[in-house]
Amino acid sequence: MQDNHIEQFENYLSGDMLPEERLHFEANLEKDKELYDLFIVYQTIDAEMHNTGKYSDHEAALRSTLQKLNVVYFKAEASVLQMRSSKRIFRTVATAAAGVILILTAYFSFFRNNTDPRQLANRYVKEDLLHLSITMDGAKDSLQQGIAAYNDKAYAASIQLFEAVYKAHPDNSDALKYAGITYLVTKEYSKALQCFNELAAKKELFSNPGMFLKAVTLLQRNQPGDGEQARQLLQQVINEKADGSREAERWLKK
Amino acid sequence: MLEELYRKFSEKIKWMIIRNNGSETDAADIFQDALLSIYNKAKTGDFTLTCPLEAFLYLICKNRWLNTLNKMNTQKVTITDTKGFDYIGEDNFKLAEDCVLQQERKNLLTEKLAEMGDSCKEILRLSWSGIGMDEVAKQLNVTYAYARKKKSECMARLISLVKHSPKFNSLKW
Repeated sequence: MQDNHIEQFENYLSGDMLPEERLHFEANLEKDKELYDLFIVYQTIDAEMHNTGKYSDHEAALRSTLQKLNVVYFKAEASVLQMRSSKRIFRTVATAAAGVILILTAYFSFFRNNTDPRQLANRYVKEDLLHLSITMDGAKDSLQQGIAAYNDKAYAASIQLFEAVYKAHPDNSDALKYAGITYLVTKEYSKALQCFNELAAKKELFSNPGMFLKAVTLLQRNQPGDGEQARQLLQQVINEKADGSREAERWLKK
Repeated sequence: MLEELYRKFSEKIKWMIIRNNGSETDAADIFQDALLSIYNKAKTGDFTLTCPLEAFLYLICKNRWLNTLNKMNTQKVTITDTKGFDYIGEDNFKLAEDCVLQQERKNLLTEKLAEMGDSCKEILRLSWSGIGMDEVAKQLNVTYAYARKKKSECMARLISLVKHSPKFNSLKW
């Protein structure tokens, strides 16, 4: 890197350039991307370190206080090592427990046959719809905030967010699906059915769980005629190999 | 005030980091760094928080920890414990990202400054302390022209060190 570039930056920023030199420098910045990027880095460093210099005493005092509080509220490294070891034991135990759970789940899935579609749908709602997927690096928009609220069981907030997203973006079928699911878990079945009907009608979607979720809602609501209508829908899901067809097939076999 | 922040929020941050392949020491570092990043951002005057502090602090810690995991080439982590993210708003997501980036840039600058010679450290420290270069020259007992030249050399060296760091490109300068 050429030191004279840095000297130029300093002269420019401190106002030590003649007007024609300034114009020439600004023209160079516009046409030379490398020079421009270097100038931005210089400016950022200078601004951030100026601030650091100005408040260095305050920051040192703050760091010192934070370190003292860390000792009180977080364990020291020695304890952490012990904890890591405990974590290893915990992981071993957890792995074994997961194995047992897996075997039990397999046992119940394959050998237990005393459940009807309604009970299976009930379990589906309680287990499969308990959490919606959210990723750490994706939680940036209203839909993700709605998912976060849902996972936190803040259903009133999540429904507001999902409905707002869907209103603003009627092509966002996920927002409609999540709104329906939220109504389903809060037992507002007629609203859930409205959402899933609307979702099922979106024929352009490559993957559409609308019909399956409508069947789940009917099984949950369990009014006269709901069971039969749900069975017909589940059969239709199977025939059309739509979203949820594997569950539908399993449920109707019971 | 600080103690209250620790008392109210440290457990939750600890829990989030430990559940995502971290240790309690990692949690302590991340929590401390998050508070420093808020302080540093507030110093610039460009800081208006429009969501609960708890949610904002959690978001900063989460972003910092995600960056740390990515640097360690750990697989992407999925977090379902997102309490407090409702109502946080896009502007606060952006503010949290700025805080984290600013703090990470500052950490990198501090690390690279430590690798430089004493004379460079001293002239840069003085020039960033808010005094003019004529005063810097006086304090170092050198001429004004020499102080300016030396400062340029030292800045060029610092920029070169920073640009050669593998972290440089991810820090959005």
